[in-house]
Amino acid sequence: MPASAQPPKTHSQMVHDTVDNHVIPRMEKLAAATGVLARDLKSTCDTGAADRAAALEVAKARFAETVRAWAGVEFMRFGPMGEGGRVERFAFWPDTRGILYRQLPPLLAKRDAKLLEPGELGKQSAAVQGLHALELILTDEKKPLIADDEDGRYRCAFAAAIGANLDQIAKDLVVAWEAADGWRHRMYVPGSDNGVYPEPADAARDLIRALLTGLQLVQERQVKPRLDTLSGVAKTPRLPFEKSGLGITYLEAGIGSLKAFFEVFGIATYTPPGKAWMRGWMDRAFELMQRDAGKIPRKPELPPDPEKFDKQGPEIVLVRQMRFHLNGLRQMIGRELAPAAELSIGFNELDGD
Amino acid sequence: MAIDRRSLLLGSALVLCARSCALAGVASEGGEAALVSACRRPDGRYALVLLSMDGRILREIALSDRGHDIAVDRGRGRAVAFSRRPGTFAVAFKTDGSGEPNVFAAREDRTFSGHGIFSRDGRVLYATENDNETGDGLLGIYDAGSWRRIGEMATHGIDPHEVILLADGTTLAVANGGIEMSGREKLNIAAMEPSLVFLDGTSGEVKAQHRLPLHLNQLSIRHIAADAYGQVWFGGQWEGALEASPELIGCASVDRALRLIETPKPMGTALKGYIGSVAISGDGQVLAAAAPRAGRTLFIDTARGGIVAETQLPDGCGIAGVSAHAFALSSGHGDLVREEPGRDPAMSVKLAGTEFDNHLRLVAKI
Repeated sequence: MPASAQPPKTHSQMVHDTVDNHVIPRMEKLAAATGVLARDLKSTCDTGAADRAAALEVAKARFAETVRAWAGVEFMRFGPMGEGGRVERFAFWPDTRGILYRQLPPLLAKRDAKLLEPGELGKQSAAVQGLHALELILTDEKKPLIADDEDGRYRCAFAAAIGANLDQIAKDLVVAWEAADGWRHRMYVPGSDNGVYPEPADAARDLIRALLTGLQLVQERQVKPRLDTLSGVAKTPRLPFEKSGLGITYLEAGIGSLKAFFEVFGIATYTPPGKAWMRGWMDRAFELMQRDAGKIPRKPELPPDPEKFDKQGPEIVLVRQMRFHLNGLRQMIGRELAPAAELSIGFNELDGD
Repeated sequence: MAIDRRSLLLGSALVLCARSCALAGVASEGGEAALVSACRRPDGRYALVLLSMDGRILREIALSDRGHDIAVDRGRGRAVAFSRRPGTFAVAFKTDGSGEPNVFAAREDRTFSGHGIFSRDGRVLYATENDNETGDGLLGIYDAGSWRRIGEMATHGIDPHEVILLADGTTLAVANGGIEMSGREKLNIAAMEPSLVFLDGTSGEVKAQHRLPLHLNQLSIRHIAADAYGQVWFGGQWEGALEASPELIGCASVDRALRLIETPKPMGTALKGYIGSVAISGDGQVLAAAAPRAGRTLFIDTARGGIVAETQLPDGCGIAGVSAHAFALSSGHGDLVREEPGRDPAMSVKLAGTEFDNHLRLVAKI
C-alpha cells in the first residue's frame, strides 16, 4: 500500500518508530564507531615504529567510519545532542574564523601532558577536541603523527585523546537516550509532569524539526557554497572533511540518514488528498539526491570568466538539481505535511537567535 | 579572480534597490506605517515589511539575506535593519517610504550581531558587532547620515547581542551573550561568560557590569528592555541541559545586581529554555517576554517582578509595546496580534505565507 494511502501515523507512532528504528540505532552505531576509533588510535601510538604506518591506515579507516556515523546523527540536535555543546565538541563546523588553525598548532607545539589525561581535552575549546581537529592531525604530512620523535609521539597521543573524547561524547549520548529516565523515556511518556513534552505532538515536533534542520544543513553547508563558486559569485569554499577526502562520503551518509528518517517518521502519510503526486516527488527527490551526491564536485572551482560560463555544465546542473530537491522537500515537509499533521514548525523556533 | 565581500554586497545593494523601486507601488496604497519587521515572504525571499497597525503591508524592502532587528529613530522617521548574525550588511531607510534605502557593510574584520540603537540626538548609530579575529564584543559607531563607520567601543564581553539606550540618554546597556562563536557555531559552552554591561555612550567607560553566578553561566543574556524604574530586563537562552533550565527572565540596573524572576512553578524548561525577544509597554510598567519554542508570551509586572498574564501564540517572537498598555505580537506563522495583557486580542490577522522574524518594532509615535 503506498504511503499516501496508508492511514496517518499518530504522533505517538511517529515518535516510537523513529526513536526505536532510527535515532537510537544510529546513536549506538556512532558509539560503536568511536569505540573502535579510540582503540585503534591508541594502538597506533603503542605500535612499534616499523608497523606504525600500517596502524595509521587502519585508524584512518576508523576515522572514515566515524565520519559516516556522525553524518547519520548530527542533524538530531535536540535532547542530549543539544546539551553541553555536544554537537560543536564532536565536530566544530563551519569554522568561519579559522579557530581550529589558530588554536591547534600552538597547543600541539606546547606538548602539555595534562591535556592527554582522561577528560581533560573535553574541557578545552570545541575547535580542538573533535573530528575536524583529528582530521587535521591525521592528514598532516609535514608533521606526521607516526614520526618517531617527541613531536610525533605527542601528536599521536593527542589524536588518541581526541579519539577517547569522541568516544566519551558518543557513549554519553547513548546513555542519555537509553537510561531508564533518559530521553527515549521522556519522548515516550508525554504528560503534564513531563516538562519538555507535555503532549505527544511536542515530541513529534522535535523530530520533524530535526528532519528540516538536516535538509537545511545540507543546503547551507554543502550545496550553496558549491553553487556560489560554480556560478562565479564566491571563492572556492572550504567544505567539511575535504582534507581527508571524505567530503562526499559525509554528504552521502547524511542524505542517506535523512532519507531513512523521512521514511520511518511517516510524515508522508499526511500527504493531503488530491496531492498524491507529492509523495512520489519526495521519494524521487531523496533517491536522486542519494544517486547524485557522489557525482557533484568535491572541490568546485570558479569559472575562468564569471561573466560568461556554461550555466548548463554537468557539474552546476547537478548541484542546482540538488538545491531544487532540497528546497522542494523543505517546502513540502515544512509547509504542507507538517501543518496537515498538526506539527507546524515556526520560522523562529526552527533556528532562533 | 578574487571576489570580495564588498563586491557581493554591492550586488546585494543593487538587488535591494531594484526591488524597492519595483515595489514602490505597494507604498502608493497609502497609510502611515506603524510597525516594521524582517520576514520571509511566501516566495521564500527575505524582506523588511512596514505594516499598518491593522496588519496591512504598506511597503516592502527586499533583502539579499535574512534580517533580524531594526533600530528605529521615531523622531526622524528613519530606521536601520541589521542582517542576522553573523551579519555583513545593514539597511537604512525612511519609514514613510520616501527615498532609496541605503545599504552599508560591516567592516571586513567585523560582523553585525543583528541589533543596534540610535543615539538620542540621532547623530550616531551603535551596532553590536564581533571582532572576527579575537571574538571580542564591540559596538560599532556609525555616522547616522553617511552611515560611515566612525569608531567603536568595547562591550567588555563576547557575543554582544542587543543594545539599548537608557532614559538618561547617555547610558547604553549591552547584553553580552557570552558564547564564543565562529559564525553561528558555539565554541565553548562550558566556559560561557554572559554579562549585562552599562556603558557611557560617549566615552565607552564602563558604569557597571553584572554577571550571573557561576552555576548560571550557561544562561546567555541576549535580549533586553528598560522599564519605567530604570531597570533593564533581560530574556535569556539556556545552553545547558533543558531539564536543568533556570528561570530565563531577570533584571538589573546600574547599581543593582542581576536577579531572576521568581515564579510559583519553575518556568525555564516549560519555556524550552529560550526567550526570543522582550519588549516593554508604553507606560514602562509591563515587560513582555516571548518564548517562541513554547509558543508562549509572558507579561511581567516590572514593579513586583511577577508574571501577571500570559498569551499563547505558536512561534510568536516579535513583540512591541504599541500604547501605554498594549503590545503587538508577531509570529513565524504570519500572525499579527494586538492585545493588552490578560485581555482578549483587540486585533488578530494572519498574513498567509509570510513568516515574521524574531523582532517587531514600533515606528509610529505613541
